Amino acid sequence: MSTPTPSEQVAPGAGIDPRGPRFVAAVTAVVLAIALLTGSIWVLALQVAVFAIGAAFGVSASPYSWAFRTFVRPRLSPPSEREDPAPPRFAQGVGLVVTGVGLVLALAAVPYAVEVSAGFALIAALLNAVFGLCLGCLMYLRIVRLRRSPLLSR
Amino acid sequence: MLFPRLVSEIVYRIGALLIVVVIASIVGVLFTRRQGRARTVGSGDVLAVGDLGLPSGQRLGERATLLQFSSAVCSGCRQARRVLGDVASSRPGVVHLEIDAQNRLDLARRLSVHSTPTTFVLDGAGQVGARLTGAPSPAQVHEALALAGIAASREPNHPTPSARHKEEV
Repeated sequence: MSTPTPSEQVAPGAGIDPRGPRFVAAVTAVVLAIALLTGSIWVLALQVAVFAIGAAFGVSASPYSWAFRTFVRPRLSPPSEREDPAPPRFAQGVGLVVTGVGLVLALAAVPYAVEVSAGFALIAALLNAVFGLCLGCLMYLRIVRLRRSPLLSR
Repeated sequence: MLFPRLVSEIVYRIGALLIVVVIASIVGVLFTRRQGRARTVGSGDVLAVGDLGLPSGQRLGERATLLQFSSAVCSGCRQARRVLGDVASSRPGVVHLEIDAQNRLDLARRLSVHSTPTTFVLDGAGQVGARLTGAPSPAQVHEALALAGIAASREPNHPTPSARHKEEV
C-alpha cells in the first residue's frame, strides 16, 4: 500500500475504494460489540492489534480489509470514487489509542476497562459503518487544515 | 446461586450495548439531517464575474448561479456536481459553476468555506442569497433557490438585475 501523502491531494488513479474502510468499520463494530458483551481482554487485545496494523501501514493493510478485497469486493461494481487513505489511517490510530488505553487499564485490573473503552470505540465504528461518518477522518482534516491554511480554520 | 448473578450480568451488558447503539443512532441521524441543508446568508456579499475569475465566455446565470466549492479529495463533491448540474439544466437562467477551494483560498476565506462541497446560491446580480453545506438532494437545491428569492421559471423574470448584469459583462 502506498504511503499516504501529507496533503489532501490524491493523484488520479491513486486512492482507495471508499467502501473498504466502511467494511472495516463494520467488522470492527462486531468485534467491539463482542468485547463489550463478554468483557474479554483477549477480544479487546485482538482489536488493538488490528488497529495497530491499520495505523502503522494504512487501513488497506488491515486483515479486515483483506477480507473485504477477497470476499466482498469481487461481488461489487468498480468504485465510482476513490478516497485519500490518510484520514482512515488516522482514524485507525484514534481507535488504537482508545482501545489501547482500555487494554492497559484492563491489564492493570481496572474494572470494566474493557467494556468502557470498547463502548466508546464502538460508537465511532457504528457511526462509520452505518452512517458513513468517520470521526477520526474529520479530526484528521481539521488538523491538516489548521496546519496548512490557518485562513480557512475557524 | 451463580446463575441469577450471571443472568443479571448479561442483562447489564446487553443494556450497555443498547445504550451505545442508541447514542450512535442519534448522532448519526442528526449528522445525516444536517447534510445539504440550506441557510440564508444576510451578508449581502456580491460576487462579480471578475471576482470569480471565470474563463472568458462563462458568465453568471441570468436568474441564479449555483456556485459550488470543491476540493480534490471530497467524497460528496461528485454527487453535488451531478445534482446541481441537473437542477441548473432543468431551470432556465440558472447556471452551475464549480470552483476548487484550494485554488481560490481568498474566495473561500471571504465566504467562510470550511468544508467541501459548499454551494452558494447567487441571484442574477451575483448577490449571495443562500448557502448549502454538503451534497444536497435536488429538492434541497430547489428549496435553497426559493430561500434565496429566485423565482421559479413560470413566474415573470424581473428585468432590472439581469439587464444591469448584461451591461457589465
